[in-house]
Parts: sequence; C-alpha cells; structure tokens
Amino acid sequence: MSFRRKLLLVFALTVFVSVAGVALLVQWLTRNAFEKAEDQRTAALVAQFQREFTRRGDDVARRVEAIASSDPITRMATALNGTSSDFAEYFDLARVVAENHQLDFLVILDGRGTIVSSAQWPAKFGYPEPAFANLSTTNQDAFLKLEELQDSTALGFFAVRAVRGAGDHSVYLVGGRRLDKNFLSALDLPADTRVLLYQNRGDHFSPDLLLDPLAAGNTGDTARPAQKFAPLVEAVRQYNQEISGIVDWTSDRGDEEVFHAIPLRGVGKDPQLLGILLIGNSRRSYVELKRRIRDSALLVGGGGIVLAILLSSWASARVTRPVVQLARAAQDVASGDWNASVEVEGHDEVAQLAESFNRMTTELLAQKERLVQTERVAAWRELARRLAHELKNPLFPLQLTVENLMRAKSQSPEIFEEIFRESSQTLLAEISNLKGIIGRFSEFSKMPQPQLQRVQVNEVVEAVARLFQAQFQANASNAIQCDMELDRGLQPIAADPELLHRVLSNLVLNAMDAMPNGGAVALRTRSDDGNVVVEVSDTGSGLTPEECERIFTPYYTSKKHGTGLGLAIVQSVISDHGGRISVRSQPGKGTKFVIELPNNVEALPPVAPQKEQAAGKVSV
Amino acid sequence: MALVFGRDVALPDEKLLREALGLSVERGSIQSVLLQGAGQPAGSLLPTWISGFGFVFSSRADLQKARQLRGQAQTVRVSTIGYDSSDPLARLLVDRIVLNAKDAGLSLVPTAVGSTDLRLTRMPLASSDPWIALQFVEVQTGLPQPQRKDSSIEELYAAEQTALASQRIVPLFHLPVFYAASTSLKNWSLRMDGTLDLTNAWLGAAK
Repeated sequence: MSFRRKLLLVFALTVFVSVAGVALLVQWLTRNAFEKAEDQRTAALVAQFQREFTRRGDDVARRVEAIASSDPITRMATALNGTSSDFAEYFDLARVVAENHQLDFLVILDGRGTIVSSAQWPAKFGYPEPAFANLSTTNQDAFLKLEELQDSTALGFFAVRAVRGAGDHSVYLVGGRRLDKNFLSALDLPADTRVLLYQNRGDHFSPDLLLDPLAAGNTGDTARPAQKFAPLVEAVRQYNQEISGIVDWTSDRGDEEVFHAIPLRGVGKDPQLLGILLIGNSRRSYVELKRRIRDSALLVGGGGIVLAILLSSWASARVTRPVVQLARAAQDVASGDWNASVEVEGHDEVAQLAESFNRMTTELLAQKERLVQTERVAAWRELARRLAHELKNPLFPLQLTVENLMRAKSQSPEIFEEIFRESSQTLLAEISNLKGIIGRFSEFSKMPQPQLQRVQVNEVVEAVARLFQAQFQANASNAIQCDMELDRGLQPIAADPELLHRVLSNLVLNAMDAMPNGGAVALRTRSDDGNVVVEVSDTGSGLTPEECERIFTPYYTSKKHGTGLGLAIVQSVISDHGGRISVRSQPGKGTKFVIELPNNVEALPPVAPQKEQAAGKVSV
Repeated sequence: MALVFGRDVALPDEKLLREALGLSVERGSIQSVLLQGAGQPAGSLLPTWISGFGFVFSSRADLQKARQLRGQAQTVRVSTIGYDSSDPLARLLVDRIVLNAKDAGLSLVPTAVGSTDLRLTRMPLASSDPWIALQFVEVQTGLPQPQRKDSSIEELYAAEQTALASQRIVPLFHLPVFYAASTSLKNWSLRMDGTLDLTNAWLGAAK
C-alpha cells in the first residue's frame, strides 16, 4: 500500500472514529438525560401518588372519625361494656353506617379484636380480626391494608379509631375505601406515562390482580398482555425493593416502556408487601430521538468521510508529493542515474530530507568520480604492468639474438651468414609475437557498441554449436559431448547477433580449455520473467571462489597462456546489452556461466517486416 | 331450616365430610345474630315439643371433631350450596355456613341458580303429629320411609336416628311461623304447631 493511500486511510479512519465517538457521546448524553427525566417523572408520580394517598387517607380518617363520634356507635360502645358479647343488635350496623358515610369497608371490633359487625363481610361477626394485633389505634394516619373479602381480597386505605365505651373498654372502628382503578385514574399523569397497581396475593403472579385504568373491563389489554409484568412483579416480590425494568410489547422498540415497580407495604412490625405500584414511561420519544441521532450520525459521518476522503486526498497528495519525488530520485540513483535530484520546497522535515538526499547524491557522484579516477589510475598501472610483462618476454630473445649477431660478426665472421639467417627468423618470429600482443590490446580498446536488432537467441546458440562441432569431435579419445536444451517458446530480444555470437564462442572456448581430457558442454536457454537466460556449463576442472570473484577482471586469467581479456570482453558486451553475467563453479565439479538478457524489443525502432526477418538471421 | 343434600352418600368420604359440615355450623351464633334470637338451634328433624326427645340430638358446633373428620377424608372437593335468592336472610345464612365450613377445612361455593350439591331449605312441619311430620320430611328429602309397627316413641326415635344417619339432611333450626295481625284483633294466640288459635279472639275498636 502506498504512503498516500495509507495517509488517506488514516485521515478517513480518524474522521470516522471522530464521528462515531461524537455520535456515541451524544447518545450517551441523551440516554442519561432521558433517564434523568424519567427518574424525575417517576419521583413526581410517586410523590403525587403519596399526596393522593395521604389525601384519600385523610378523607377516610375523617369519615371514620365522624362515625366514631356518631350516636349509634357511641351507644353501641356504651352497651358493649366488655361483659356483653351479644352482637345481635349490631349485626347490620357497620353496613348501614358505612353506606351513610360512603366507605367501602367498615369493621366494628370489640376490645378483644372480635368482629362485632362487618360491612364488607356481614357473616363474619364473632370472628377475630386477623390484623388487629398490627393495628395501631394511636396512629391517626391512614395506612394500606389488604382486606380479605368473602370470595376475594381488596387493597384499600384504612384508618382506625377507638370509641371509648363504659369503663376502660373500647370499641374499635376500622374503616376504609378501596384502592382501585378510580384511584389510579384520578392521578394527573404526564404524557407517555401510566400507572398500574398489582395487588400482591398468592404465591405467583396473576394477571387478574393487576389494576390497569386503561384496560377495558376484565379482559385487559390484548395488545399489552398483563403477563409481561410477571418478571418485574416476581423480582419485587423476591427482593422486596424498588426495581426498574423494560417491558417490550412488540418488536418495535418504540413500544417499549420502562416500568418502575415500587413496593407498597402494610403496617406493623413486619410490614407485608401488599401491592406493587407500576409507573411506566414510554420509551417512544427516546427511541425516536435515538434513531434520529443515529440517522444524523450516519448522514454526517457518511458526508464527513466523503469530505475527508476528498480533503485527505488533496492533503495527502500535497504531503506525499515530495516523498514520491524522493522515492523516484532514489530509484533513479539505484538504476544508475547518479545525477538525480529533488526539488526542495519549504523548510519542513521533508524539505530537509530532500536537501539531505541531494547532498547525498552530490557526495556520491563526487565519490564516484574519485573512484573512477582511482580505478582509472589502477587500470593504467595494471595495463602498464601487463604491457611490461607481455613486452618483456619477446624483447629478451630479441636482445639475445641481436647480441648474438654482434658477437658472431666480431668473433666468427665465417659462420655469421648462417647465424644471421637463424637470428633473422627468430627476430621475425618475436616481432610477430609483439605485433600479436599489440593487436589484442588494440582489439580490446576498440570494442564496438552493439547494433541492436531482433534476435532469436536460440538461433545464435545453435550457430555457435555448429561452429564448434568439428572441434568437439577432433580428438576421438578426448571428445567433448555437446548437449543443447533450448526453450522453443523464447521471444526474440533486442541484441547484436555478432557480439552475442562472440560472447558465446568465447565461453565455449573457455569450456573446451577447461576440459583437456574431454567432457560435456551444455548450452541451455530459458525464459525468466521476461528476460532470456542462456547457460553455458562444462564438466571441467572448475574454479575456486577467489577465481570466481576475479574472473571478469581485465587481464586476470587462470590459464597459462591467456591474456585475461576474454571474459572481460564478454562482461563488457553483456553489460552493453543491459544484461548481466554470473558464474557458478566449484573445483572439480565444472563451471556454469549464466547470462541474463533483457527483452528490450520495445526500444527498437519499427522496421519493415522483411528487414526484421533478415535481421533475425545470424551468419556464422 | 336444614341443609339438604341432592343425593345419598355414595362414598365413605362423603359421609365423613357431611358429618363434618354438620358439626362445623355455629347454630347458636346464627340464631342469636342473624335470626335475631328467633327459633331454636336444631340437631333433630322434629322439634322437642313434638317428639319429646329432640334435645338428645346435639346442635352444638364441634370444630375440633369436624376438622378431625375432614382429616380422615382422603379426597375433599369443592361443593356448591344453593339458596333461595328471593330470601335476603338465606344469603346471609349461607355466607355464615360457608365461613364455618371453611374453618373446618371444607370448601363451599354459594350459588343461587342451577342444581347444587346441597341446599339451604325451609321445610314447614306438615303436622303436630310426629309420625306425619317425620314422614313429610322424609318425603321432602327423598329418604326411604321405614315400616311402622307400633308407633311407639322408641320406634320414632329409631326412625329419626336412621334418617339423620343417612347424612342426607343436616337440621339447623326450628323456626316459628309469624303472623302479622291488625291491632284491632285482640286476644289471639299461636298453637305449638304454629297455627292460629282464635278461640278467644275478639275485635276491638281501632285506635
């Protein structure tokens, strides 16, 4: 992945993460705000419920107080002086008085807590009131109580008043009003809020015990079945504390309601859980706002990312341009263009890098010049050494021959003629040797530039093999076997066929020199990633690693009579073709030269088909 | 007034439960409060003033024994108890009987309509003759009528005891018959069987 794309990705990711973070933060704040508002609404509703409870309780207390001070009750208290247990006269009194004072419940108890008269359950006279022990006659406030009826139970506000009778004996009045749907309907509820009451009876949740003021009749709300409250109610019953929970009515989250379940307890030392007040808040507004935030976040995020891509594309292009220039310049340097430099803009770190790069290339160029100078001096020294060595050998016989002639002229004139003839031949032979040496040096210095044309490498290889075929078989005892493995699918390349032929001939000659006792020469061609590879291997004596390193150095030779220019010429030719040559060898295991030549056909000027065909042929 | 079962005892548990029900009803409280002192709690089919031995059959509630009998029963099912919906007192009486039965561990559901397992029934005495009165009760409750040999008091006692032992009927109260008469009707009285005795009655001037 390019630096520019990485920058682009980083910018886009940064924007995306930022937008996502802001959206999450907004959602979190929104949820907190809604929860806070929800808590406030719940607290307000609970306070309202308590106010209404207190108001109704006070109303009940006033009515019971009024009953306690009424004549029939006072007379009854006087009559029931603690010794009489004849309740017959007052059997129907509670019902009548309760009706007169609009109370749903009224029980008259004697001092021992026995029911004298009951408005809600007339047949229960003479029975003890179960809650009598928990009823505080000194507390004037109303309280919540679960009243047992003949075939059911009912939750209500109750108040207790004592009526002083004769002596120290008292009669107690326990009066109350039913806590029902009417009570819940009387609460002033905010929008999207509702209140339900669960009457806690039995061991398990029962939908029949749920008072929902909005539910029609006893059938309940079919769209919102009461059974959904079961987990919440059971949790409150289990832990006996306020618990909140979400009730989902449909798959639409907008229909969800958050319910706060508040336990309602009775009186006494161990107050019983009598009911559970369920205050519900619709989550529709919250869910819709959340959806809007999410949609907005998606819209803003999407737009932001597109904008970020555009801006970051521009910014990254601006940032990466000098880096790209640097990379190109570095590639140029790597490919040999040491004059590459980059434009320096500004004074930032990239500009400093560009300056450093330019200094580096300038320095490298200077060092290269110095190196070339050094190598040139070394080459001249080597050339002088070789020339001195090569010329010294023929000059010594020349000197000896001339001195021999001079000595024969002065000391033995009678055989001078014969010595002159022999010496002349020697002198001519050595002079010819000197000319040969000078010719080879001249040839090396006059290495021509390759004339590139479309060449089928296989044809050149086959021509070289044909050329040396006779020499391979010249000595029957030391015959050399020539193996060829040519890739017939090779594409033509741009090369100079004459020079290429010379290169391969040189390598084959070297191979033959390495196998004086015969052996095998292998010529192989193959294609490798668009390049053409030619291998020339032998089964000769091989080379040491040191020889491998120096074998392409001019005037270096491992042979007794070599000039050391053959492989230097080969490397020069291959290098002029844009290719490279390498050698792999081990002593005693033969040697393999590997030539890699680039295709480069595109670089050739377009030629006529006939001419191209003619150029592809190699004459040997 | 009595509780009359719709059919004979078919299972041993039914006999135990019917007996428990009879023992759970507080006839005294009911007579004192709901009946406002009218009538007499009854453990016998015939009142004492007819048979002479009505007091032998106890009318007192024994909740402990009722619970014991109910505990002996292996299966207890909810029974329905019927009453006359036109009688406001009947509902109160049934409610109290249901409450008493509940104390003994029995479940009764009061209903004014349809056929029921037992029913609170007002049963007028057909005659001051004990045999006629008993026979009438037996006919009304569907009990078999025993063969009478000598109409002795022993035989009458045995007949009533047999009828009660069938657990088809649980006597509750012997109630008087009330008549309302104008204040101008003087010196009239009721006979023991509840009929008017106008032998010495006379009409005075209305005030």
